[in-house]
Amino acid sequence: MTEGSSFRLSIDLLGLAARNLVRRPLRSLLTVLGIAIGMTAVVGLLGLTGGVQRALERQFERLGHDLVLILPAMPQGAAPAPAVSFDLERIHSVPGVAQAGALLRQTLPIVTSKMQGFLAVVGLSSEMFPLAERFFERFELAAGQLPEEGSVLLTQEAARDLKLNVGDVVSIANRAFRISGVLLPTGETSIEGAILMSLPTLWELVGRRDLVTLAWVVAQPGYDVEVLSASLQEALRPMGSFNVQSSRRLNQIIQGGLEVLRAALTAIAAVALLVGGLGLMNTMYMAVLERRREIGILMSLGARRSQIWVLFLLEAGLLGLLGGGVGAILGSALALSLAALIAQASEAQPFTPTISFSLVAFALLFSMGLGMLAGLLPAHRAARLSPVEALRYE
Amino acid sequence: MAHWPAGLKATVVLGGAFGLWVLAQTGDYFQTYPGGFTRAVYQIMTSDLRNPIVLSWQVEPASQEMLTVTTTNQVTARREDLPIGVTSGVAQAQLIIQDEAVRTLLENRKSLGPHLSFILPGGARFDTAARETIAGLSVLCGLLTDPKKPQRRTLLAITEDPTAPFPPFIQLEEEKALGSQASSLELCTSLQPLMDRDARRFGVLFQLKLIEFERRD
Repeated sequence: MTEGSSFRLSIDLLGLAARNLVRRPLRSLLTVLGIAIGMTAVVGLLGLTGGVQRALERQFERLGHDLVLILPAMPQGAAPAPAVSFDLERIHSVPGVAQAGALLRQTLPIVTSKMQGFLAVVGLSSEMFPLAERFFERFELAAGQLPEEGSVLLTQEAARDLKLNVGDVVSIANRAFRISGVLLPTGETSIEGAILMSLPTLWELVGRRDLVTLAWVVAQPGYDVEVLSASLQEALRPMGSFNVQSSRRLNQIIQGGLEVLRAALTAIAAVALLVGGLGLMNTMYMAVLERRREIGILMSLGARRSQIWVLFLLEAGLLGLLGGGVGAILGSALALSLAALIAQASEAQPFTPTISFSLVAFALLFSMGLGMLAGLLPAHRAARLSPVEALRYE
Repeated sequence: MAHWPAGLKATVVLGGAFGLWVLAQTGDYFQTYPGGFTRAVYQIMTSDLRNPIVLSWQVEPASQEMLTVTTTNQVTARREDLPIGVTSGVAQAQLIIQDEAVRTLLENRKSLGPHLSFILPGGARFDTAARETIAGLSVLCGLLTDPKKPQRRTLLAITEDPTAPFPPFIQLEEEKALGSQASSLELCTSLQPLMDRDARRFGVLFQLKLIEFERRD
């Protein structure tokens, strides 16, 4: 057989396989749906967890890998991060520390000329303002300037809630402060809606000069951040119970947890795919049974067993491919909807699921492969039929 | 296979592990507990159960440094409703009081006053009505609204007494279609004028109310 006639035969077989699928539209549709449901779950969950992973990677890249974060150990049942006594000066003396800072978050009574209430006030140590872009998604002034003694900075949401602007006065815990500036939306749920001031000022307001909610340390260039983390843990032992983690290690822990979640979810989705594959196998067995006479005619007209085998395998592959295509589309929609839902429900930063070309290509190829695998045995049975017996079949 | 008559109901009294779970969520409560004997009984109504859940909470001194805490959680419901229903009541109450706005109100309960409006974290607002009495406790009634959940509102009674483990009255409401049964007030009736400001119809999703309170120093 020449190369040209072989190619034409392949096209003919593909056309025949496609026509056979259309002959039983409802059955084909249900089989495609079986595969599509499994692939929707796979694409949706891989896309979603991939998006979370990418968003976290971006956050940790912004934080940098030379950072050590110190958080008070959370007592059981404590919902907000507790503020604890912390000696910031002691941290500076630990070998390998280039810079150290802290923040304190407290809810305090607020009174303006128009309203009263209770809002979160965040005190930032002076070292934190120049590094703010490392800690927060966005830290840019919309108006005014950074706070000095006797003034505060408002986040966009706080300015809107309090109906205040630069130059206005706000009373916080019975002390008047001028508003030095207003930030653009920070995209950070930890500070958005809060009033920002210097840490020593907030310490004065709460009457404690050592309270912190979070502390951080930047390692000296070239200093091993894990060694620094261990030294800090040792230095902090007499001060109480703290969680000390380098940003790199924290990233590894979170990414590791996500990998496990991703694997577990994919395994669950794979079961759905397997069920779809079994459905496809059943469809193909039915097709072989129903089309015995047709197989006999093809064989009596000169079709080889291998061509019959390829014909049924192509049909199964096409069903799988169609299921994969539908699954990729539905899975992308599922991932996008779930991402929007999660962002809305948790008030977390929105993230985009990763529906990459490689994920879609994987979905299509895997579904086609699964289809062909499920079609192997039925195709084998079709190819082994005796033409005489097949022609006798009514 | 056993066939359960449609009317078969089961009564469940839970303590032990469930009580521990409740305690784990109330770490701050014991930090500020002034000592002495406290007994509080709450009635919880949720959309998951037809009958109310009765939650009792008792704290008594065991020795100079120790307290004995007894909690029970009692509900009568169909078997199939019990797995979700039993836990959902207390869980929903916990979720409500863990909300940042509610937590802020409870932390600053002594700074609140009647017939005022307070801005809270997240842009939430708490409009107070009058002081009333629930199960012998003096409370301040108020209406909590959150611009991020415009279809919901929470009626809340806050007491300055730190020995009550939950606010004496919580009623979570959600906007309902016109024609459905509207929520009514048995407690915190001074909130009615504030509620009438909103012409929309609301239905009750969850209600917790203090029905008994006993306190001895």
